[in-house]
Amino acid sequence: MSEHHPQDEETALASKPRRSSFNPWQTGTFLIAALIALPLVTVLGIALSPSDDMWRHLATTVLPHYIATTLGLMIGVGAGIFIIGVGTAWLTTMCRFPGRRIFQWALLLPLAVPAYVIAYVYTDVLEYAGPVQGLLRDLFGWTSAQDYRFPEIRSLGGAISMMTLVLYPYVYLLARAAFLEQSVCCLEVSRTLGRGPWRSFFTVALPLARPAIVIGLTLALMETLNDFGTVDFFAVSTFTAGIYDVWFNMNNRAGAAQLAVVLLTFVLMLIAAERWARRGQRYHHTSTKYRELPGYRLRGGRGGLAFLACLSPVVLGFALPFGVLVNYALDHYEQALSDNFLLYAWHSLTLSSLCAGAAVLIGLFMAYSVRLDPRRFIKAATRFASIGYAVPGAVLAIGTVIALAAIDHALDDFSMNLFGISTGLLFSGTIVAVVFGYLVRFLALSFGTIEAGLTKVTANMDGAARTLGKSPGATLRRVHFPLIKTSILTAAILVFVDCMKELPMTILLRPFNYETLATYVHQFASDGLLEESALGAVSIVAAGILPVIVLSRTIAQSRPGSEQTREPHKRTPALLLETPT
Amino acid sequence: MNTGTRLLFEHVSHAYDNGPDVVRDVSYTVEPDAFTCLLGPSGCGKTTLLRLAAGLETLQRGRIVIGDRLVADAQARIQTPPERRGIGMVFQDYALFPHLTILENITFGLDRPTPEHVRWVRDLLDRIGLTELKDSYPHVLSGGQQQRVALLRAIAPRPGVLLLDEPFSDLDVTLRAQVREDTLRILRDLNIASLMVTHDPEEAMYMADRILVMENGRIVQSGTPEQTYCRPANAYVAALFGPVNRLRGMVDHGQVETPLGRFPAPHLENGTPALIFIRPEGIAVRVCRTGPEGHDAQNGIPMQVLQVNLLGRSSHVHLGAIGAPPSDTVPLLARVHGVFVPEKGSKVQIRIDAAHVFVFAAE
Repeated sequence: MSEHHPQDEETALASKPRRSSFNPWQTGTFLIAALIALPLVTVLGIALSPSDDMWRHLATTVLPHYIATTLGLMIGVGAGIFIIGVGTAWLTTMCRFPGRRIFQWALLLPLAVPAYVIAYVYTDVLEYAGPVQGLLRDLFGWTSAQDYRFPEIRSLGGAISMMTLVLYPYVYLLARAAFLEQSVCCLEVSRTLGRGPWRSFFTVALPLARPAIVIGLTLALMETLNDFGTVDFFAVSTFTAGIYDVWFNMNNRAGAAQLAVVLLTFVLMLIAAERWARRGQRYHHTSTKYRELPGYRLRGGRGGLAFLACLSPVVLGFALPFGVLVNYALDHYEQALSDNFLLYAWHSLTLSSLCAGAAVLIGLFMAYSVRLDPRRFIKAATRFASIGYAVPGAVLAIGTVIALAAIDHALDDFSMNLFGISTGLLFSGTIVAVVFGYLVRFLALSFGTIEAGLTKVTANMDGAARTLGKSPGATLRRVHFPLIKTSILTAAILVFVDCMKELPMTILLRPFNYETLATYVHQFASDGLLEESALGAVSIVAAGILPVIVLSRTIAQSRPGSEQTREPHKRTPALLLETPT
Repeated sequence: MNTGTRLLFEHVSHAYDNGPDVVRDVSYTVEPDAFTCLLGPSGCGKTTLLRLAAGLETLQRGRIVIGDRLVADAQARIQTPPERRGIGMVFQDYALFPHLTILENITFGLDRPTPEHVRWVRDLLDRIGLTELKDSYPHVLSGGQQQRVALLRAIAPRPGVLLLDEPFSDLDVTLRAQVREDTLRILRDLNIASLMVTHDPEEAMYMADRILVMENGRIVQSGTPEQTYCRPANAYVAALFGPVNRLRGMVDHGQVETPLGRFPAPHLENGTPALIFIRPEGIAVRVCRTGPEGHDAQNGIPMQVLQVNLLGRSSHVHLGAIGAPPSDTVPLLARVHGVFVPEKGSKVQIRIDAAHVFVFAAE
């Protein structure tokens, strides 16, 4: 009989395996989470610690203005990107009109243009001495600004327009993905129940797409809060501009940190609004039957209107500013090259590559760590490490500077006491600080992309490799890595490009006189020398086109039933907002 | 070759996320010379037990010994990772590595194999007829071929214990029989302790030397296929092998009286309710010849045919008491070998084979 007899047991324990105690994956994940959380915790700590009456001073003077301006900006941008994003997504998904297939990806192009770049271009084009006003004066015989009224671009309204033009693709991308995922059957049911295309859109398609649209809005508004270049250039006093002002012009770090905390409450409000809008809703496919979307055929004038509706965002958000910049760059490239353009480009490239490499390594480590041990507290640690993406760069920069300075001073004291040698500032104001700041902000991007990629590898493949004698590390190297190479490359590209574009953190964290393409363009354009720095702006935009290609390929494959089903919103940082379950 | 490694569970219990236990106090030794099947419906905990043995789940209570090595002991917080347990595992979805060729898949678990070992693997590859496909990728293979590659990959490192998780359930019925036979033939030569999870009683009967029946996380019966089928330990085991006729009655001095006769119940207490299971294949049906009533009366119980379903190899005959309206009685199901299609409403006589009758205490 093979029933078990407990007494022969003691002899069976010839070799004792080692106890499971130290787990490098778990420990590493917690270390990373702690390190990434450091800047945010520092900001909170400083803002909450008792300080001078700076806070009261801020509250009575500038704070109401900051709040009003920031809210105005968010409402304006939110409304603008909702209308453009949802409208173009619906047209390109559900309607047939000339150019539809090109618009499907071309509408993503403005994503490549940072808001500050487009702001410089439009200021250049629309200011008093610019070509538009000059043409108007010539046409109508006006001689001075007193003769006519022309809207001032450097205003809140201008900032809203600029950000709307480059941020609507977030909503477009997610709304389109949601429309594609909807079963056409649902819409047909609505039609057979006697509702026309318009009512079907408002009563069926739009509510079904609501969770995705809200995520797109939230992401875009986070970018709005993050923006520094545009509001600085337009002298629109939002919180981000205010933090910079309090820090550099008033030289008050605690006050800046306190402003940063108020800014954080805006982010929290955004996340709460997003949760509320999605209450009770889950992503689910409304039907398992998918067919080619029928498409309402738009003819004649209506087709022309649809064409124009899709063309204008692409032209205004990408083609026109990019064309202007290329034109300037061609005229002035010799001067740019003599102005150290190559050095700045080299700085941008090395910083961004370094950061992309680190973000991918750490993201892969964390994503695999969750896979090895998907317990709640490990997931929570990875979510914590992903929080940086929601936090405006200026806030993170303050935390980074203060935290690194504290570490530097501690190290210096330690070294002085022990060896009598001053180490000086090891991290503050060095490349390390910049890379660390970028990592805090963009780790979520690589982690999310890699985590989504890992879902392609079934759990049984891990099991197969492990039972075939491979350690977790060897399994990662031989099974997961080759299978998710594309996701890793995507993650690297996304982080790389965001680092190239990054402005507020770079300004606050860079070593003295250290210029990247972004700071160089910002510096020159602020001084009215856009033409001279156009080559830099063109380079940033050109790099930004890379992720647009990646995203448009992803969305093309996103339809359920197509060869590779992936949820595009899973590949964007939207998963930050997912509840950790 | 292996000289036999046993796999031993001792008081193993497991739960997911503070939920109810899915494995409850399982103690059993899988012997190296026996092909053992864990049989039970989905959700009964059999796959969890397999994954605990493999080390893919962390043991919560009890101990697991492979060969002479204690690989997991919940109390002593010992948990040997799967890669150091010397086991092989075949997964339900095969989990072949899509980026590796067939040969690379099969040799995945081999680190610096001896030339003799390589020759052995090549022979096996030849035996399952996949030598020509060794440089192809898994997606070009048929389901049956993928299953064989998965099996070969699991046994290539010569593990002491082989674990199989529903390895045939993704194959279509006609292919399944063939692949089962191939698998048995390969494993027979290896003298390897094999534990296979299945929900298909016929598969377990066909393949196993020993069957462990699991119910709600417990092993309720362990024995040979014959013991499991002919002497089910409880009503649950008896009902595993397909539909049964259920009758109720009271125990009266070691016997239970039913409309179909008296059945012995020596192990049950006097005056307690009893459950009587009669397998459909234990009911012989004979059509009454038209003639004087009572001629065949001693030979069986008279009944009438309510409905017949011809299934091919056998026929299902639904029977009811004579005279009673059909809606009033729970029909009796008889399975008759071959083609047997009596008229609806025709009178028949049945005989019940005592070997197919099981009496259990009703709860």
